[in-house]
Amino acid sequence: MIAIYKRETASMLRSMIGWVVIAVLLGIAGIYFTNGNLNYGLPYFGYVLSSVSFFLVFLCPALTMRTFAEEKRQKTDQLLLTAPVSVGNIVMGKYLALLTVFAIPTGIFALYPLILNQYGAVPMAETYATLLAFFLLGAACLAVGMFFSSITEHQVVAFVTAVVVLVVSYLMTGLQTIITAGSGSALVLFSVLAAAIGGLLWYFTKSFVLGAGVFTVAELALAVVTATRSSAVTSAFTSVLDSLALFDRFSGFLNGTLDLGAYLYLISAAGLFVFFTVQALEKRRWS
Amino acid sequence: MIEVSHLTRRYGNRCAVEDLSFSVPAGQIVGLLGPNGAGKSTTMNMLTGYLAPTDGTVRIEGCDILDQPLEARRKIGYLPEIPPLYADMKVNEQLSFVAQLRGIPKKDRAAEIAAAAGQAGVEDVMDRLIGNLSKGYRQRVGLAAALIGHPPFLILDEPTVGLDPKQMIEMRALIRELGKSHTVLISSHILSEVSAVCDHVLILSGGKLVASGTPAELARAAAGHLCWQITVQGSESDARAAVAGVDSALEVQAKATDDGLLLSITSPDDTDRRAALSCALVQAGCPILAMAEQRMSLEDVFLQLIEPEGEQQSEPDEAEQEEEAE
Repeated sequence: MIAIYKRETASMLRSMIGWVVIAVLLGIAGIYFTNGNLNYGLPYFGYVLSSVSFFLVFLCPALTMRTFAEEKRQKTDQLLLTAPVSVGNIVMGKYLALLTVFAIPTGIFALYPLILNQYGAVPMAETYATLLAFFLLGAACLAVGMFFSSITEHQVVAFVTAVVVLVVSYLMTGLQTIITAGSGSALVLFSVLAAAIGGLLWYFTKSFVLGAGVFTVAELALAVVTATRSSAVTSAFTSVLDSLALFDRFSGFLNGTLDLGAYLYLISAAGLFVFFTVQALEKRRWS
Repeated sequence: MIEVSHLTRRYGNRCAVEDLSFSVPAGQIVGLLGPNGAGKSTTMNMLTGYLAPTDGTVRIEGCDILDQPLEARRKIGYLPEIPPLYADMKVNEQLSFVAQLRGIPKKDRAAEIAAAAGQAGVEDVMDRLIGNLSKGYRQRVGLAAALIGHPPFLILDEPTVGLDPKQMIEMRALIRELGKSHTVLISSHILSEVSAVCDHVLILSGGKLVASGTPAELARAAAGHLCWQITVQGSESDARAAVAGVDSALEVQAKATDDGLLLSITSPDDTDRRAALSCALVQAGCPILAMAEQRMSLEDVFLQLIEPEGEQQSEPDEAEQEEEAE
């Protein structure tokens, strides 16, 4: 794990992509910092992070797109997967390297409140709690990006799919308002979800019966719930969508609330996608 | 030793390797021979745990590659078809990375890397970027990486592909040298290479094991069919009668040529009947103008085994023939 971590960190910092991501993050943060904090004299650094967080949608996939896709394309994954190292260690090594590179700009961000503090009172605890949430948000985005890199051998495909998923996650709050308008759209989306799960099962297990069976059972359950308690479907769907809104968790910190649940959520999201990555790599041996 | 039993690998409906069983005894150099697409690389990828078999087991000194993957993989040095090297690393960085991956303690690392680099002959390029190396050197760096940690088993997938003739000869000499201290499994589609380097040959075709034995054994097995090409003067019926008089089991094909009547006589066993045929044909009034014996080389065996019946006669020219003109 340490060997892979060291190699991966060095590789990212040796190629342009690592520095570009760091520079863009710092550049954007610098603009918002100058504008909001220095020109207008706002003491809250959280707003800068909030504005920067949107750019994670593109910058995290840019950092992660190479991780596994390039290894597969260059066939260097043969070295890793035939070495006496478990897949979990390979993935953790790579993920920790990504976190390390992301920690560089985050660490520099940690200096900004100290600068502001020279000119007035800055709510330090609040600011650093927000910065931690920002780092964890980045960690979750990196895990998502890494997962999409592990299921393809094209960097561009990995980048585009990860960006699409993160954009949807970013816009989730807006999407939610459309969907709660009527239970009809919730029904459609639940059906699509059931079809997608059925389709994936069919694809992974090569058993049409299983995929179609799961889809049918899910649809029947949906029909029963809709017929008996139509509002339950809508509220269930809202909470499903809610759980997909990564970026939403971050906004709570801007009001000065310390949301431990949000930390836990972001860490779980990161953990889940790291786990998915391990599974995707294990699956490669079998497919 | 490496024990492979009933190894099967399917990609969808296509069967890349089917019910393959063999073993590689310790201390031998074993060659996996077959045309492109015969399943050599798939087999090697399964032996090293890169791919999981659809069915069957692989044991490396008793360690199952799926149940005890780390122990089994620690015993193997693998050089895949395309050496898995990072273009953005220097040779010594790459070797050091592999040494760390294989869990070599820090104090032994430098010595281990130097030994492997020395054996593979890459000491001169240690400070060069792998992306800038030639194919031949990359192959050697890949081999050096496989040698790190001194694994008892070396699995080398087409180690001489893409090398120039001089490098090929060097690589073969190196493999023979490595064979003294390692158990080696190499794959190749070049026969002369396998027969020059290996103690034992496994011939794969269409994912199945079609023959196995030492190079000499395989050649001898095929030599069971001797064939003579005799050009005579005279009528076909006389010649056929004369040949049938020697042994009715002989198969005769006759063809009129400018030089005379060309008889292709195939014997079901390896008894030399040239003298008997010669006397019988002359007595029957068919003087012999030329006679040649064909023995099957390993190449013929190979072609015979990997080609479906019927096709093999259509390309006799490709087979290297050892002709003994009498």
